[in-house]
This record gives sequence, structure tokens and C-alpha cells, in this order.
Amino acid sequence: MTLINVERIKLFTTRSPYWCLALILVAAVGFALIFGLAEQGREATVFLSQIGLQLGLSVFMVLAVLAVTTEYRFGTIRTTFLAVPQRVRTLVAKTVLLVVLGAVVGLIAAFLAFFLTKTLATFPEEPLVLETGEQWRMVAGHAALFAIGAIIAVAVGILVRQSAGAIAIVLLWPLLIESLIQLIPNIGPDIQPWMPFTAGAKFVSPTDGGAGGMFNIGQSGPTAVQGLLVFLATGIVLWVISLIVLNRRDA
Amino acid sequence: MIEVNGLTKVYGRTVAVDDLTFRVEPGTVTGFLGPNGAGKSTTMRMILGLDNPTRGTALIDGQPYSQLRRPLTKIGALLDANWIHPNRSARAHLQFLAASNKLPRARVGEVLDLVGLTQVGKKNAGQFSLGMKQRLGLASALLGDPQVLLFDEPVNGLDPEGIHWIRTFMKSLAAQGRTVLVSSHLLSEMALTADHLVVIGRGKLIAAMSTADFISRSTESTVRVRSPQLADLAALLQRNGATVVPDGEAASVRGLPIEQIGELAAGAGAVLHELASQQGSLEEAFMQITGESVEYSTDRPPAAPTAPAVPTPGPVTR
Repeated sequence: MTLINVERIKLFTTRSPYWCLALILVAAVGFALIFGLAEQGREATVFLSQIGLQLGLSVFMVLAVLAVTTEYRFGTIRTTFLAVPQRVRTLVAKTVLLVVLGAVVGLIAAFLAFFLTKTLATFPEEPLVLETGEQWRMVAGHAALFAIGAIIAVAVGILVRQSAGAIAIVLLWPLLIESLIQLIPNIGPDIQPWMPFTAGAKFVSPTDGGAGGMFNIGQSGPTAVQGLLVFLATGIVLWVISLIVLNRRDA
Repeated sequence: MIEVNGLTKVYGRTVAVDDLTFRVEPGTVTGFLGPNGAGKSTTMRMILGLDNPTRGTALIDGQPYSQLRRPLTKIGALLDANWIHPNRSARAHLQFLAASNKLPRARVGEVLDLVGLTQVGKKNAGQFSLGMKQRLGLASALLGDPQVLLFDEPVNGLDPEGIHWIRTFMKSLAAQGRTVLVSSHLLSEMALTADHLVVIGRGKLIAAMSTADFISRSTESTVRVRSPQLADLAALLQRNGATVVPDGEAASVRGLPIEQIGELAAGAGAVLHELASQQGSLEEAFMQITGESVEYSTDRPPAAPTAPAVPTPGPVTR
């Protein structure tokens, strides 16, 4: 608890986390406004109310990456290791803090977006309600995605150490790299759904693939829970590698 | 007490620190001296567990740094004053450090007061001058009220006022009976503050002894003699056991006190145009000793012996 408090002080005594958190809410609310108001909400579904959260997840991962890389940039990681030489304890504390923050922020942003869309949409084709497990999963599931995103971002930050490089990785990986996998002949389309971010997104997508509107999530690939586990496993593997590297490397 | 045993750090083919063994005794100020690039910072980082040694150990009171719980209460370090987040206030910086070692919150205000930063505690550290950052670094080193302190080039880049302040501060720490290991590439600086010296060059130990011993052993006083009858006088002095090195129409004489040289000259009826005592400077001695072990030496000849070598501040080591 002591060290989580230390990481909390460090995170919230600089400005960038506040900007990132504000941006996440803006993204969530902004897209909710669009789908809630467009055509008086005829397009609105539970899934579409959450579109802004994809951008939100990226922004949150930038926040988590910066929480690590700025420490390398300004040398405070060394100050920290002087105070707490057992590096694993610092890494655990930082990760736990960001995982909890991610879960809370993901949950708040998701429900904000859902209820805003529900309030604004006058004539949705289907009522916007949280009744089935699937509907709950599509909204509250973002807490899990944000939490796992934090683990991945911390690991990438530790491994890369430079802000620009680490941010590029966490942004381009889901947006570009996983889509490009699809272009690999023969096997590409089969493995693409199993790529970590694509798989993770399954957890907040409708099971039948009919997302509504122009969004159509394919039927192939992992189920929602399998997708989440793929995403989680990616995070854990990267995190363990980063811990090994962190312990071996000169700070 | 700090014990360094066979400490070695190899980067690729470069041996930065080579089988270093020394002890820093409790209650003393030990100067850790060497030219830039000699491996001082690397050694300090290994003592503090930031860098992993290739071989050897560094123990603080018998324990490696990585085993210490609440290390700030045992050993305080100022390696680089710039290791602060520019958008975090000085107070917040100290707060997270205090929290990490379960130190009372009130301690933050105390150390800010101690280094004279109370007025600017709420200011972001990025707005600080180097001198103020150095003070903040000292404040974090003193946060846990440790008995052992480690400073890496604490006066590097400071203005004269800042240097004076740091020097006075270190002396007061020593007067409180704390153990201090402070690195520098300036022997003159160390002569003012350190009781003991650990001198390294190219990562190797050159000397470990008291400052007084080091200075007396490595600086010799010579007497400059100028006389129209130099040849006769030189012969006379040599018969009396002096070493005479001719230098144009003058000569430097070693091994005889200045009074005796004057008396011998008077007895022989030799005319003296100049008779002057010359103290070898500390910097000269240091350069003489570490000369062979400077890593990036230039082809220029060393400074003329008569001119006290002016130490040029080299690139700041990080």
C-alpha cells in the first residue's frame, strides 16, 4: 500500500494525467453525443454508444506509458530506485495503481457514454437498456479492457523507456499492425481476429457480430471471453518480460 | 561504512571500473577523486544499486544496497540534481520520497527549511536554477536523516556562491559526525573538505590515503635560483645534497631549505638575482599522478611547471 501511495503521489502531482483523463471523457461523451443525436438516435445501439471508448482506451494507454517513460526521461525512476531498491515492488505498485485507475476510468466513461446516448436518443430501433449479460458486458467490459491496457502500456514503457517510441507502439499496434496482419496471404485473415487488441475488442462487441450500422464484427475468431483472455495473456507475458529486463538492466 | 570489494564494470570492451577496492570509514569525509571519465559516477551508481557490477561487491554496513529496507534512513545520495520532474513541485518531489520510506510528512518541511527552499517549495522544480536543484537534491538526500551521504560532483557547474554554500553545508554534515563520500575531479576542492582521498584513474585505484599524506607525498617544494655564477653555485649546492635542474639562466633546486641556499650563496660570495620558494600546486600533483590514466588525453604538453595549472571544468558526467 505504501508504494501504491508513492506512485499515486507521483502520478497526480504532474499535469499530463489530468489532460489524458479529461480527453478520455471527452472522447466517450463526444461519440455518445453523435450517435445519440444523429437521426434522433435511430442508429443508436448499446454497442455504438461505446464507440468513443476505443479512442479512450488509446488515450489511457498513452497516460500509462507516460507514467513510466517520463520517469526515465527526467531520471525520477533512479530517484525512486534509490528510495526503493527492490525494483519489482515499484513495478508492481505502478501497475496496480494504473490497473485500478484504468478500471475506474473505463467504467465511468462507459456508463457516462451509455446513459448519455440513452437520454439523447429519441427513436432508437431497439430500446437502450442493460438487461442481458451481453449488454452489461459491452458497457462494463471496458473496465477490464482499460485495466489490461494499463498492464500492456506499463510493460511497453519499461521496455522502450522513450516516450515517443512507446506511445507509437501502443497507438500503432491496435490501429495499424493488427489490421495489416490481415493482408498476410492465406493465414492472415485467420489469425487476425486472435491478435491481442482485436481479440480484446470482442469482449465489448455483440456476440452475433451484428453491431449495427456500418460496424460489423466478424463471426470468426475468439468468443468474448476467449478474446479477453488473449488480451490478458498478452499483458501478463509482456509484463513479466519487462520485469526481467528491468531487474537486469542498469537503471 | 561503505566497503567496495573488487568492484568491476565492463561495458562491451571498455572497462569502466577495474577491480576497485576501498573502504569509507565511518565519521570521515572521503574525497573520491579522478579525472572526468575515470569511473567515479559508475562506481557510485554501483554502490547505490542502480548499475549492476560485472564483478565484485559494494556493501553498506555489510549489506548490498538492494537488500536495504528504507535505505533513505541509512544512506542519502545526490548523484544528479536534474533527476526531478520539471512540472512537479519541490514539496511533492520530497513527499513521494518520504512516503516511500515511511518517513513522517513533517520531515519534508524540515529538510526544505534546512536547505533554504521553504519559500519555493510549492514551485515546480523545472523553474529552479541549478543551484536550487542542487539544494533540492541535498534535501532529498537528507530526508531520512542518514548517517552516510554520497555526493557526485556536487559543485559541478555551480556559481561561486553556490559552491561556497555546498562546501559549508558538507562541512557541517561532517561536523555532525556523518560519513561522507564525495566525488570530484578537482583536488583543490577536495583538499578543503576531505580527510581521506580515494584516487582513481581509468577505473583503477591509484591511491587511498589521508589527504595530508597525499598532498605531502605528491607535492614537492622547490626553490628557484637565478644567478650570474649559476654554474659554480649549482656545483656547490649539489655538493650539499641538493638536486639542481637548470632552467635557462635560472635553476630549480630541490632538497635544501631556502634559508640554507641563501647562506651557501653568501658564503661562496655568489651574486643572487632571484631566490624564490615555489610550492607545487595540488592540481599539478594530481595531474602528475593521474596523468597516465586520463582517458581522453590530448597531445598538448602539460602546463609549464611554474604556472599553477588551472583546472578546466570538463564535460559534466552523467
